[in-house]
Amino acid sequence: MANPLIRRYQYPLLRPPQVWIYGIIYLSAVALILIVNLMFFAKETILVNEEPWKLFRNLHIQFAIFQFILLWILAPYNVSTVISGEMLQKSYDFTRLLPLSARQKIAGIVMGRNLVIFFMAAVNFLFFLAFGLAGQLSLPILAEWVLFLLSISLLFCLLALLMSMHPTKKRGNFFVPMLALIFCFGFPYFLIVLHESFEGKTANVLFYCWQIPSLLLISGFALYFAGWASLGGLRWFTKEYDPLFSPLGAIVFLVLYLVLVLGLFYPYFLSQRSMESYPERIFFGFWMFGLIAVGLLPVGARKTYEKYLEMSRLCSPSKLSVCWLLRRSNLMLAAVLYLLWVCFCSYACWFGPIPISLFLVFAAVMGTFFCVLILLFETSITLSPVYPKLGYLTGFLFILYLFLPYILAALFEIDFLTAFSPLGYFNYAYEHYKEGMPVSPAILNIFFCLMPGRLVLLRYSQIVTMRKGLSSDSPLTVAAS
Amino acid sequence: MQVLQTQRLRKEFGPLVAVQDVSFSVEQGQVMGLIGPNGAGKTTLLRMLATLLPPTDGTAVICGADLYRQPLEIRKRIGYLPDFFNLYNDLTVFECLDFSARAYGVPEKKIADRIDRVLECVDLTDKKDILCRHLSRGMVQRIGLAFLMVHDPDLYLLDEPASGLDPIARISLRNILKRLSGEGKTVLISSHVLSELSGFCTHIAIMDKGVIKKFGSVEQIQAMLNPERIVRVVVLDEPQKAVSLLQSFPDAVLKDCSGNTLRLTFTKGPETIARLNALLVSEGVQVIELTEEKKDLEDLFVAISSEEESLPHSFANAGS
Repeated sequence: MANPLIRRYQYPLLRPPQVWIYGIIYLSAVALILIVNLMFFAKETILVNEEPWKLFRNLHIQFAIFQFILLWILAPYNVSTVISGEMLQKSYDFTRLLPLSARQKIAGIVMGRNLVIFFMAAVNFLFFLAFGLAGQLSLPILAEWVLFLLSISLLFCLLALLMSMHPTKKRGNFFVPMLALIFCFGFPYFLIVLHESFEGKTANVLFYCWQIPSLLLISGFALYFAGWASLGGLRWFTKEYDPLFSPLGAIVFLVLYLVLVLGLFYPYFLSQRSMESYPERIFFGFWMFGLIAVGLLPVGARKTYEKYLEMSRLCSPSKLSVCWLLRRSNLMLAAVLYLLWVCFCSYACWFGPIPISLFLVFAAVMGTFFCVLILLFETSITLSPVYPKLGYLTGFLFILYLFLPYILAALFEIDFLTAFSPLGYFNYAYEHYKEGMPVSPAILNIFFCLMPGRLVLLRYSQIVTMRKGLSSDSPLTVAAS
Repeated sequence: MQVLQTQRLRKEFGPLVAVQDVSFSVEQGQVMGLIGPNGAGKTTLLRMLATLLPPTDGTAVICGADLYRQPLEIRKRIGYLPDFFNLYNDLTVFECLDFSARAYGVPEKKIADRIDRVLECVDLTDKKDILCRHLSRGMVQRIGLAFLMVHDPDLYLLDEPASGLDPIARISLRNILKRLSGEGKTVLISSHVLSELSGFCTHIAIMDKGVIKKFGSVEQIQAMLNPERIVRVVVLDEPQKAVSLLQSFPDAVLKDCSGNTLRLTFTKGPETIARLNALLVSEGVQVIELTEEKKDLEDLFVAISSEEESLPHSFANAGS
């Protein structure tokens, strides 16, 4: 076995005293499915003369659910427990120090930890395909199903690994929130697809101008995100204290993400031209999807205070300044991401009936909300070494900023007050865009930016002063200069 | 050949400076004891050297690889034993060592032989097929060392390997460390129990409040400790006769005298002490004890720890 980590998991998983237990559980489950279905079928045949292909299709669906449990729940769960378990056991330092490449570590953990699960899933796929074919399902539909199950499983496994692996925090098992996520977003769709599968068809979705089977499209999206999750894993296994996204990575992710989302909205933009009432509202959906990414990416790509110190260490003291730091800061990245979103959405406006000026006003005001939030975030990052609990305060302010306008609006019965919250503004603009976008919240936001902005600049200045003091005769700095 | 060299290595945790501009070097074959009280920064320093913690500033070259640019290269060539650890509880001792050997690229053909040798070295051959979770603390500590030894690293970084062990386990661990030292391995070992390190360390660094306060070979440290020889002489009777004889002896100064015990300061080598002994005996003084008083590491450690001012540069020369 080329990957030592796979072999490491192979030892405890495949010990003869426990392999037979896994075997019996699996065989019992399969036998139970077969026996119960056969009994039901025998009963139904007597009552309503059921056709045999329906039995096979039923079995096919039940094996799909079996795969769902194995590949979407158990496999990611196993992966999510590896690092948290080792941290708890205090053996993680040994794993961290193993001179294996990040790729070997990811493959070793995902494959090694799930050797038994994947073996069962492989056998299950045989049943799944055999019963599907016997149930008169076409081969392309079955292939789409296999791709769908595998790609989502890969995504979940990689996400589970990523969520469990940051070394600076002793994290617990993140599988419970992940399970909730799976059930909220995955399971309802899975049931719809199952139902369609039972009918022997899959729905097609328009992506730009192409009709693509929905399973294939979802698999594509899952693989896209899985690709990024694996890049994140590679990054955290090699540069453990770096942010999940490099600045360039965050930009590329956003651009590709917007291209993908635009592909989903594009047909609607075109069809909205012919609609009479509120044709522009579909654009808000596109804007919202983009804004979600723009809001989350700076969190994933955040540089910590230690990272700022490390960056500034590599800069020659003569070049090091607040401007230098600002150009490489979280603020600058957030601004670039926001501008990218504005450019993309402006471009998308050409496809539909929405005036670009309307969007630009909306984007400008939303930009001031974004500034406040990002400055709060940066304040928390840069000052947390001095005030370790500052995150609680900024978190509280963040919640206040989101929801206080709603409370005030309800209290004074003035609907417009909700526009002073970022969420409320989006909603207000969505409801009232025909009357023009309100701009007054921007003034208040600029005022809100002053204090955190000043604190952040002051902190940058302190970093510069401290680094210059520290590195006055540091050999490394001399080399860099 | 230098196996480890640090330059102004520094680690800050917010306002706390855990390691403050530490510079030292370790040559191949040296066994360096890193001594300091709890919270001195020993673990932080070792974790930085093991590439587990990024330094705030400074640099280090370990086995020819740069700490920042080549961490994977460093990981291949070091063996780091954390202060509190467990091995993989779901594996047997053999599986654990086999995994280490494979992960560190030991050739397949040599693995079994290497494991046998290492198990013999740590005296756990009979525990080969026992699950790691069933081992005692002392055995886990020894298996931890075996886990490192199996890939034969160039540099061992051992963080308080004897903490929490009973006296027998300590002796056993000490023997393994002596053996490593005897094989010419480079070892950096931390401890706050000084007696653990005496006997096999070639160099000592004393660390406190993030600063290395004294660094040098054991001889240098001894010289720092004992700039003058103090000899204690106990006579059976007639201490006044001994005192008068000593006062006429040119190379010794009487420090104090209480009862039958005299303490003298010598400025010259051990032959002077032998001459004094001969003089006393020839003059009929019945000497029942003549010993040189030496301060041990503990005395030095206490003395240095109580110093108010740090001496960041005093060690730099000694280390080079």
